[in-house]
Amino acid sequence: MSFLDSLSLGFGLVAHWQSLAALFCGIVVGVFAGAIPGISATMAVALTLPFTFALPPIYGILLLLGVYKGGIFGGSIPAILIKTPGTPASSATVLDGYPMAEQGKAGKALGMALYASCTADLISNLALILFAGWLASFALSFGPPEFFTLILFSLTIIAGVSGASLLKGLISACLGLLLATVGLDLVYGTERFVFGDPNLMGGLNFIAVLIGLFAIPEIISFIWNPDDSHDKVRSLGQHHVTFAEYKRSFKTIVRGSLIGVFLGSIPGIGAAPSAFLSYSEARRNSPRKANFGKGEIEGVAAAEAGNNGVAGATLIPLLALGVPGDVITAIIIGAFMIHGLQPGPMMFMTNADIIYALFIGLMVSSVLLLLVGSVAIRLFRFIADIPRSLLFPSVLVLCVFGVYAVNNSVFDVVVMFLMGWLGYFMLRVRMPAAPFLIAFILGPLLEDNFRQAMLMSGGNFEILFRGPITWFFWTVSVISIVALVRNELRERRSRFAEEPA
Amino acid sequence: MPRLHRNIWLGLIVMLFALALAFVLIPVGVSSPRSVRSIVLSPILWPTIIAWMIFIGGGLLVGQQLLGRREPDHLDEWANPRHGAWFRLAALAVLMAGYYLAIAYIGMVWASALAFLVLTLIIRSRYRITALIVAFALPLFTYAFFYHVAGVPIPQGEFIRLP
Repeated sequence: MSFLDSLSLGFGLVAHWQSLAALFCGIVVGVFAGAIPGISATMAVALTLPFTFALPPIYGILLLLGVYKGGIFGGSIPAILIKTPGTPASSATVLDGYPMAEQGKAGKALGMALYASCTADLISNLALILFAGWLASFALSFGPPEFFTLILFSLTIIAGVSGASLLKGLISACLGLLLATVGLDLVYGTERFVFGDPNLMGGLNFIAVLIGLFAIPEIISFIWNPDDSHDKVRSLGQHHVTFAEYKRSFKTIVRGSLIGVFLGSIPGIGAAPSAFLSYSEARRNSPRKANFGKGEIEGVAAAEAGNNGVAGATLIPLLALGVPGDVITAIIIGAFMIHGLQPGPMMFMTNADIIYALFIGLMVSSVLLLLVGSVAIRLFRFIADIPRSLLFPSVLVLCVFGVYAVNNSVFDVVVMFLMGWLGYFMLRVRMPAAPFLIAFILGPLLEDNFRQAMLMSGGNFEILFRGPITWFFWTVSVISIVALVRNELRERRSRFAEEPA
Repeated sequence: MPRLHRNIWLGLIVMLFALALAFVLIPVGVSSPRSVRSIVLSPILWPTIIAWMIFIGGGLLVGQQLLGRREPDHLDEWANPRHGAWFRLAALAVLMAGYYLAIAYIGMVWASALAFLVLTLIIRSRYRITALIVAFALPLFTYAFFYHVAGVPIPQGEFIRLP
């Protein structure tokens, strides 16, 4: 099938009002959820996922992508107006966004955040369209040994960069790998950690684990210290962003978008480091560097371009290789699986129409984000006033309904509650949950490909080093581990050096 | 007795768990057929590798804290909660258990409404009237979506059945 054939089939799938409505609803939910302090984009995507079961795959996935894109932008609204980032990725936006709000220029800061987000989103989507197909065609030649080394490489990065402590990230990833072994063995069909319970034979439900890890701990944390108050919401002011200001920041926005694209396409790095790198690069290159941190509009543009530039690019490894780039794309990979689709190079052959429909939908999402974002900015005062003492009980109810709906199983609700307490424990001991979830998803793929490779070679490990691709992934895995250990040691050293003797 | 750092406790717990996994849970919970040709294909291999990786991770965490320079204990962010924090946590655990059990008897909608109300009581929400409205409206709306739109058979209780 030619590129044009695939494109026209994709267009046929997406050119319905239902697709646009799904995308629009997703963006609305994402922007509003991201704007509510305490509801992260991750939680919003996780809670929306069960509502997509009844939809055809393309509508369901567009809805989730809308929530993802909207959530990333939505987080910048409270970052600017109440100095509370709605998502970790918006932390860099606070640096100049809030000082601008204090100066009565919140409307200007939010306007720039929106324009920078939409521009970066567009650039990121273009990168996705350009590179995903190319990478997928390259990955078509991968066999089990290549996939094993690729997934191993992804795990080394993900475990290392997802938290403050490398060791805790690694332990978290190992626990995720362990939990993924529950159920029937892939090769022999024997039981693993089933203990005679038929509910465990199919393994643990991904949605129950996901919602348990990312939504329930937030509820428990709120119970620990319930507080409905939030900082004062700054008014939007009379200042609005001008075209001249946008033009002046355009170079910064493009640079930030490219940083986002580059970092987003590497599994595991995520939006927050990209936003900070984009911000520091903008500061380094700006003629007004002294203004950064005091309310510089270019700082807002850089931070937002950095974190939104990641959004499309994280889908490159997801669609082309079947490897999630961050936690949210890990959830989206779960959505693909629930809808009977397996992301990866083969999907470009078997479901090219869906892939191209997603590409077109994503391009449209940048425009819809502009519309929804400009309305959400004006409505934020009402969003911020939603009492958290009502919000979190509502989240609990939605979690229970959503998790039950996956398999019509009350057992999954128990799994979700237990995972919630585990997630809360991990939160308290500062062990990141993201490596756990991603390892839980990648674990079966890792083991499956390893054992397939062993079956192919009759147990000979040489097959894992059979060609340049496997050698490449072994090499980058070793480099990433060495770099992670070095960074960890350097950070610890600098942390101790800062402490008073 | 000097107070042990949180990371040391965590490392020790992780190591103990890994040992229990390697010597108790895997032998009891993972069965390997006799026909396995090679150890690398055995269903036991993968969990065993993971168990020892967890053990090493826990050991390194303890070692890092004991041998390296001590990382400060990050307790401040959880300190000074509102009075009765542990009681609220215990109440939430009981609520979750009750919620699960109540689904079978009164159905998911009414169990959810009840759980919502109890949770707002635990939190001591100031918005009582709104809580009462949302407690019933949200489960009913969610039920309507899942049952009538998505076709999910939401469990109904033995007492009040919904259309």
